[in-house]
Amino acid sequence: MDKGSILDQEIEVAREVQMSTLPDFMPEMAGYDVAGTVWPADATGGDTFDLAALDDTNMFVLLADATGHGIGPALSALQLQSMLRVALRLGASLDEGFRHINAQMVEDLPEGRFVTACFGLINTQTHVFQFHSAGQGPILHHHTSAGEFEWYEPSCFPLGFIEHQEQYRVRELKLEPGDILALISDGIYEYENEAGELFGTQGVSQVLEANHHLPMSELVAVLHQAAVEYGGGTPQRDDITIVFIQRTEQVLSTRKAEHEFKRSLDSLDDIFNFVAEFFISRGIDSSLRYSVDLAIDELFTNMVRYNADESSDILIELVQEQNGLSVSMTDHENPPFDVTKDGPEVDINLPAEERDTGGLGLHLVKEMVDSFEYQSDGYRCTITFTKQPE
Amino acid sequence: MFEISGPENGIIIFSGRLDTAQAERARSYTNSHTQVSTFDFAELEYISSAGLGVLLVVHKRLMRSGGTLKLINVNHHICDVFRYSGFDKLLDIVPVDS
Repeated sequence: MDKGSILDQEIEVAREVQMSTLPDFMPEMAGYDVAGTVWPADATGGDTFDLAALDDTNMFVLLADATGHGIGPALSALQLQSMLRVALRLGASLDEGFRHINAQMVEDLPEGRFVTACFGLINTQTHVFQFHSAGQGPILHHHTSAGEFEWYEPSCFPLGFIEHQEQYRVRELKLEPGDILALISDGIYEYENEAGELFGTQGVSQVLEANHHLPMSELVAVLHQAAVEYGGGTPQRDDITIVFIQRTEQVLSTRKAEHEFKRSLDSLDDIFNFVAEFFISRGIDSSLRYSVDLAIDELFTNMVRYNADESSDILIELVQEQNGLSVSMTDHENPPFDVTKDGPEVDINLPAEERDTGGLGLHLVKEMVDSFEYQSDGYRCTITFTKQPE
Repeated sequence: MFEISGPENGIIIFSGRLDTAQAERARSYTNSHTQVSTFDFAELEYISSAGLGVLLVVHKRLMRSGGTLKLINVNHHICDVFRYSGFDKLLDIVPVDS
């Protein structure tokens, strides 16, 4: 084997190691939609990013770019990522972690090498992002409802450049519903077209302005594509990394979701999608889906059929409970009809000639859910059922 | 998404989700193929009581000429629904695993 192919193999191994440190999946934080991707310019690049749930409320965010490309910078970026994750997991503050890790990198990195990085924590309860941006910028806070773009320049030197003479304090920004935090490496901002002009903050803001409603995983791809098209055939010179974090608008409470549906059988599709989304986002055991769908289908259908005079919407509320959930359906009704008691008896042992389907729906609901309750004040009634894994 | 097609080799094929909103479509389709006595449920994910009503009508019609409705490749969730409703004693049901 000649030296060249051995080197190729080694680079391939380095690439595997580097890629393995990128998040395998995006953290699921209630009320947040996050996505990130790296497109290296070489087999290995100096860019990396990280998104990780440290606990129920804190999400670690990192975008790092080491000078140069190839294995050397890739290793530096990797070192920073590893140290930061461990420091924050051990409970170090961002300020402390920053100071010690910078000192370590000053010691370790060869002359002329350094790493720019923006890193911080998002608190998903307060929606505050606390961060440092060591030579990394601009960091974008897109206020989507106002259509404004707020750009944060670097707050201090890159890591590994010089020991801190002063304590840098974290910066803070607060994400409102719909807002997007964008950490984008200079591979995008400095993407050149044939005339040598840069894609720039203007290119980024145009793409976000037009596409901020997309899921973040799609928005990442759309921005990358826009830069490549802007380049019009000029090759990618630098690593590209894009990380988007959006505070979504819908979720107000982590365990609960509610929605009103039109009094029509046509609403069933929307209802099933609403339930499916709730199961996925809360990680609820999918084997419960059938029973929950069926119970909602039967109860909703009854409300539509037997209360056809009402034009009001029907409210469905889902609440995560332990490993399962409870479902409440609220309707206006007159006169009261207790579905848990007043339905017809069903004898499942009758021969086919004597069977009909009257009451069969409610019979199935009672068989398939764990608890089944009815409450009414004579005007509004609420049916609640629960379902837990066996 | 609910689809119904066939008969192919004398079998009507159900797929997707037969919820209450789709039951009328299943009813009219099966009414126009009264000679068919076997339904393939391999791709059917879901059925509610309205769908059971459609099956009961078909079965009663077949009984009048001495027949029985046969369902093949039925998934275990739907088998549970047949058991809870007593339909497992009326129809000829072949679960997907057997």
